[in-house]
Amino acid sequence: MWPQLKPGDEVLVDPGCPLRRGDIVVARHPFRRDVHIIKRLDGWHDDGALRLLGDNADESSDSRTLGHVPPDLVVGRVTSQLPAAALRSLPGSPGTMG
Amino acid sequence: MLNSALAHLRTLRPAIDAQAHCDGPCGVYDPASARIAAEAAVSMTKKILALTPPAASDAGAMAAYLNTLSRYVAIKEEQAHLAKTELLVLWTDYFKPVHLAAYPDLHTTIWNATKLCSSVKVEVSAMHAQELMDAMKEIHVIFWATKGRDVAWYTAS
Repeated sequence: MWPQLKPGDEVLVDPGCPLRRGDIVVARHPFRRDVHIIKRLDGWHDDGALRLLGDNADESSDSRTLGHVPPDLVVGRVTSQLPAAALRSLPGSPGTMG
Repeated sequence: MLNSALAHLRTLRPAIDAQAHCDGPCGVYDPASARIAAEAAVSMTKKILALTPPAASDAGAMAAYLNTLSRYVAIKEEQAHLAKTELLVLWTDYFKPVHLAAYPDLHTTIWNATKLCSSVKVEVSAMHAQELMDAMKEIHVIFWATKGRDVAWYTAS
């Protein structure tokens, strides 16, 4: 999701908020349910499944290879972004974020 | 104050990981792994072609010769197959439609390169070995161009 999101950034997710095209969303990976993915909503397929694309098209594994993501796998819409650099300055921070 | 509240919130509800890349992190792909395997197969081709069989009456020398030849053949088989596998990983996992748009011959280029891996595996052909290395160089150039990086082509031998 570079350059919008960088490794170690944290986001807040609203699970109940309606989705619009262009939103950044967190969803469960369609083939690896224990993995969460974060992508941008490009639109909906005829059957209601979501087309999720990474901003960094050269690197991203997204709906181009994973296919459309069923709506029940969506965790929610990203409403806030906390950059990794800012998180490191918080009280009690270990200094690095995974 | 806000920072303290945020720090406390993060302690109560630690963030879960969300992956932006699902096959692996950035930068895990490198055509060097295919190139090294191809080089090994090419090297074995040259070594096989350079072997001189001993007199059939010298049983000890013949045994050593056959042993060496067998090892060269086995390594050539293995490394040519590995080179093909590494190319297919790049093709199926790294390269994306945006790359195909920039390099419309990409599918053909990789298909031909994998065919050359098969040729080097099956044959003892100096010509196909050289063509394989030429194909590896072409893929190296395309790969690093898609990354926007200027990485010079080099070989281990």
